[in-house]
Amino acid sequence: MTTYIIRRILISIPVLWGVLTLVFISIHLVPGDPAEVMLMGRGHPADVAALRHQLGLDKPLLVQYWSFATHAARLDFGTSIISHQPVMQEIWDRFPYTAELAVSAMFLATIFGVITGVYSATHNRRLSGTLVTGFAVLGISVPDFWLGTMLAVIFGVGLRWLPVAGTGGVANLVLPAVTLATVITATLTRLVRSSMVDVLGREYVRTARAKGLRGQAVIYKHVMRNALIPVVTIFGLTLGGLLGGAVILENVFAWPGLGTLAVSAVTNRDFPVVQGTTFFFAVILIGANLLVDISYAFLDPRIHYS
Amino acid sequence: MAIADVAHQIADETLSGRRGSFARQILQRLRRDSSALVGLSLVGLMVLLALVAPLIARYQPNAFDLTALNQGPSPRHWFGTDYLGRDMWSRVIYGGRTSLPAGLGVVAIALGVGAPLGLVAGYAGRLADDIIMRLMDCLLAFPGILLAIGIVAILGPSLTSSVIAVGVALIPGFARIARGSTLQTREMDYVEAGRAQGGGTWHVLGRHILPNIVDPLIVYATLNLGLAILATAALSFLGLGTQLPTSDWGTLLSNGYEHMFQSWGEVTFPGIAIIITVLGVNLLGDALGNAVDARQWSR
Repeated sequence: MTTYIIRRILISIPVLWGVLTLVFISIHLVPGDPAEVMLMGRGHPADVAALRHQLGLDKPLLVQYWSFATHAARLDFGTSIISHQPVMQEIWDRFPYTAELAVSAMFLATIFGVITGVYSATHNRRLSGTLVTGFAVLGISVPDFWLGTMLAVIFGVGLRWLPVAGTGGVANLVLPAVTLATVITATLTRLVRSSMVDVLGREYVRTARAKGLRGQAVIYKHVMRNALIPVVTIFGLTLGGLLGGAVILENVFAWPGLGTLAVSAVTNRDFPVVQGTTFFFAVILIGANLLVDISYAFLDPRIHYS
Repeated sequence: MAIADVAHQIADETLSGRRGSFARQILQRLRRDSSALVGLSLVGLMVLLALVAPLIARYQPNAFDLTALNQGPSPRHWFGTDYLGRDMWSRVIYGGRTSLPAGLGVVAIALGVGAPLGLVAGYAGRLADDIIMRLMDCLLAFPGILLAIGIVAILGPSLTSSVIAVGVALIPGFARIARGSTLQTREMDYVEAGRAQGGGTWHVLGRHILPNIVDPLIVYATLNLGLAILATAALSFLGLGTQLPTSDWGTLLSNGYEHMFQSWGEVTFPGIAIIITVLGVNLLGDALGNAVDARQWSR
């Protein structure tokens, strides 16, 4: 097991290095002079030169790369050209909001996604099961930003039950978390269902039925135990969607997390912040997938023997 | 020479015979699948509306009418009007003329770049495989929409940038599918036969491997078309995609969001247009996936 975990961590290192390199290259792919672009063409030549110097763009490329990599290893992405705050400080200030939204949504989505996924698989050939599956297909077809806006129109503008923007309490979290959870629930339902249907077709399930075990007992003792192991991997699969959804919905509900920071940084061409937030999100995703893989090995002994 | 000719002929016949019957069987299965028909009808309807938009639009999509601001649906304005009195029905059907090609453009980029990369990685193996797939792993390490946002930051907000950005974010998936299928296909006897009768790398790739990895790629492309439409609309909604005066469904939703306190119609109808299209594409993609899925054949 230890060998497996060490090997899995070592595999992540080159990916992390590659991500870092891509983030570094990104500023050099900007058409024209990045410093001029950041000042939106309105900067005095002296200002452009000063910004080029501040960002180190006047140094040889390899020197820039080394400097970027060594600073990034210490999570230092320089200062924002808009707020003049250290980029990581801004990220740490915003991160708790994104984490709060993502964790609440994942909590809700896990409960509902597993229940509806199991239900639609065990009621595969009945109308109710088909309806649940249909709603899941509908769910993945609904734009999260539209659903969020509609819920805001109904529960915020129409009924005035909930606030439609900002933070301040649990009430503010309800609309963004429920919206994000709905979209993730639809994905989870489909994944749990397909995992369950796969296990339902296995021979040991047929054997369990053949020896006279009742339907419910077969489901709980044989099917769910085996079908829910891949659900851990499913968390890994939905994590990218969860973080992406959070980025968009934060902008819908004026939630002051990393998503609003990233989008405003792009609009303002604040490259240090864009680089910092993209790298930070990638690190979260790599770290979370690492945890998922490791926990999967604990749950399924076949993994670390292979 | 004679043996090589026979080998070539057998390989070609096997290939064309297999493909012909495979495509026929898939079409037969799709015809019997009600969700495929519903999906096709929904997509067909939205494509048709976008195509004939100039004929069926009741007003110019950008024509202001300051006497009819923020109106609800009525016989005069079927979907109501926006904050500048523009007819929402006309704007929604014209929006499809931007959103639908944008989605197709995204998939074309992802397929056009991802599939050859996967093909080369799977066939060449070793160093090429390592370099290409590690690069794909790095791209996959970013949450998709955030990678797209990062690319828009480089290129600057525009419709073209958003299409390229989402396309690049989807490349790794296509590369993985193409590589996996290529790895399976390159071990087949007919590929060996193609190589044995002197076929060069490009001949074997183009003539024997590519035709056999097309099916999973088509299914994957269909499933990703819905995602592409959603993602480009999301970028437009965030102000990073289509820029005024052009409007796609995402920018219409963004305008509707800004005026949701005045009018509900402005935000409702563009969203429904997206849902109908994406639902249709997803139903079609699922049905296509089921029809191609080898496990389904044996049942």
